[in-house]
Amino acid sequence: MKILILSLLRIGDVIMAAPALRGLRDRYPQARIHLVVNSQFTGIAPLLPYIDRVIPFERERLQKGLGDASVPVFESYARLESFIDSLNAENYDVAINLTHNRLSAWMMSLIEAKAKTGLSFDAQGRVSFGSNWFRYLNYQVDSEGPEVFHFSDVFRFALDLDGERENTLDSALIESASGRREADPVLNETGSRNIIAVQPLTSDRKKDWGVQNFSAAIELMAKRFPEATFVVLGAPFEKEKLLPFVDRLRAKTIQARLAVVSLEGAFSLLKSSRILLTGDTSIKHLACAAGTRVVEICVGSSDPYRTGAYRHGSVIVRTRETCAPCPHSGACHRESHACAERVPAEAVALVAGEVYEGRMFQLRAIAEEYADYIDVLRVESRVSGYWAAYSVLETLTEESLARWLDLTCRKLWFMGMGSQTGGMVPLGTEVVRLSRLLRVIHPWVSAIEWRHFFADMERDLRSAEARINGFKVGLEYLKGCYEDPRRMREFVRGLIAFRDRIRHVPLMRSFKDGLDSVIEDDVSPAFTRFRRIMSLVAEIERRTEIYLRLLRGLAGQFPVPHGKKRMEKL
Amino acid sequence: MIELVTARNGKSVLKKDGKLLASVFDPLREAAAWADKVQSEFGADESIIVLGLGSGYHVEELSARCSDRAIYVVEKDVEIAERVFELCGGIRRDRVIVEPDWIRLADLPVFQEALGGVYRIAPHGPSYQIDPEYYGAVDRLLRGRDKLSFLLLMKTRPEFLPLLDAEAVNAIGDEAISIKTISRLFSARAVGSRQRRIWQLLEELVV
Repeated sequence: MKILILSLLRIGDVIMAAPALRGLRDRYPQARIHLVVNSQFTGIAPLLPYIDRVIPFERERLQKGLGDASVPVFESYARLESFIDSLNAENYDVAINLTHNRLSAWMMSLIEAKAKTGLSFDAQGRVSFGSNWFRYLNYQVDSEGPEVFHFSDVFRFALDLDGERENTLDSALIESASGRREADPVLNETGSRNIIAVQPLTSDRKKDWGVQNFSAAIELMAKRFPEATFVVLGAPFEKEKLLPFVDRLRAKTIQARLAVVSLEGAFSLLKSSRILLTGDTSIKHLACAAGTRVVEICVGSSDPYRTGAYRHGSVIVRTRETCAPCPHSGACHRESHACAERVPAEAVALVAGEVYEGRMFQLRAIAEEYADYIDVLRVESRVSGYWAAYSVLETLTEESLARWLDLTCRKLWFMGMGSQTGGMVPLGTEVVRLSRLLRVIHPWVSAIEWRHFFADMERDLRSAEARINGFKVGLEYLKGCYEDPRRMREFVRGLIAFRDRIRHVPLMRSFKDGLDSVIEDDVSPAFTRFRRIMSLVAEIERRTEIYLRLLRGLAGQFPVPHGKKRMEKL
Repeated sequence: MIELVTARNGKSVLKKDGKLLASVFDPLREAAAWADKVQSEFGADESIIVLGLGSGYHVEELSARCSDRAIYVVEKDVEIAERVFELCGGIRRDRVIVEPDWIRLADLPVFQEALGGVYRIAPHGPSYQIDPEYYGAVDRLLRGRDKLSFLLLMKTRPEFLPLLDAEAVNAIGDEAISIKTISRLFSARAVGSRQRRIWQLLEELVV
């Protein structure tokens, strides 16, 4: 079997896909697996020895050929055509697109594989996803807030890889001999087992916390941990910027060293580091794959919920500025880089200290102290079956509970509980996982409190269920007269009222987007609109059913002790 | 008028209208330096189109170094070509395109063959100096970035012709030909074609 995978964004995206890649190799040990990446990232190949071939896509060269008037006008066309022909000569059985953009979708349309999954255009440019998860990725790109899955999870769920081994970046990359050789001089020089790796620069100025902030945090940490050595990581083009930074640290008698190494060398260095202190960078993902806990500083356009450090035990320090996360494109619209300025170095140093020492019980106190400036998020990925980042100050409310219920519901929905036949989906497994996650987030909440929450939410869902049944009856009636604008308007008024009602029900707010799009659609032909409404009502019905089953399952996971049950009855 | 002169190293060198077409001191060393430059600039997977046969030594040197690559030469003067074939045995005659009228180049099968894949342009300085108008026009033709050159170049791409909208082609203005220009040329017939999809992929690179 021959499998082709496209990962045509940045190196961080390639690393985030590594659990899925390794999962594919585990599932298909005899398959030939080829991976297409942008040519400047082929340095990842030695860390992915289970990938048979890493194929460079000469994106920059093609762009140059298009933009440079001195280059023959058909050169980029000829190069691309030759590239596509070389791919098709391989006769792939499966092509998988882990990139979510139009460029990759057109490439998929040109690749002649027996089966395709991921965003793809057909010859006429009509889109297909091949999986609910890739369709979800399309929706998720535009949505805001924490009710989203991490990209690493989306990739592996889309490929039906949900095992324990795949639920982690650990061992998704394999250390190379040359990386080790590159790292050894640095490790020998530091002679220290207490390495704190630091990457102060990101690829986007908006995501930079600032070298002066890093410097201040390192100074504080050095005082607390005099045995630690700070290894500052950077690419060759960053050397000029980082040398003065390291020199200033050394001038303050801090044990600091600059390590300008390749991806392989950085991976080896990170494997020997206790923690990595960084912004939103690809090195963060590398550290996660190296098994190193990460303290990630999220400012600017960094979005922790989609691309946060995928390593259990990592901590994300997120600015509380309301303008963050900002869009990737476009410069900062404020006079100063407020989101970065208002993340105190002291707070970061304290958080990093906790992670360095491998204990987290002070995180809550730190988060409370600096609550006006930052959110402190803990990463949990061992019990939940998906990556989860929760605020250490998170209190149990319907709102906070709804987030986790919604994520699990979506997972079950995409796994097949949304289909008419229902399929064999591990509802019980997901209930157990969710209950474990809730216990981790709220360890002090009693079983009775949990049960009260579940009961209240179940009550809201039951009344919504009645309303949904009403819609279904209404739809039967509308079937024969959807072309009548008056009847359609009447029906839509009912949807508007339903939408207004669920606004106050946290668990049902996720239906709002679907309702909005159907209610506000006054351009589609009547039949199309009718079909969309039918599809939406069916989805709301099924997801409500999943929520109810989850809540009942969860209630079973939080049994009330016998004596207290009697008290409840009183 | 074409003359033959003897260089200091004993090699024969051509002269046209009093202008030398290679070094009168050491044409082989000059040819090696030229070939060094060409080799350093071009990738392994590209064919090379040399503008000007000169006295042939530079083409012979490059051909010896790049035996795995397709090397074509465009030469204006028939007499120069005949003299060079006598001087240099290491040049493939079937890849020398002799055509005094550059506009007719696009009609020649061997020229179309030369433009079949990715090609790079390697001008020969002395040939350029003797006839800058001709070789300048060929250079522009090969790049295809002005309207006339582009339309002539399209003759070497017959697979595109049925996909283009005639009105849009006629409406091409004087601006430099870019991917935006090309995207506007496709007709509704082109939707779904492989060629159109490749261009659509390229368009995403400049969005």
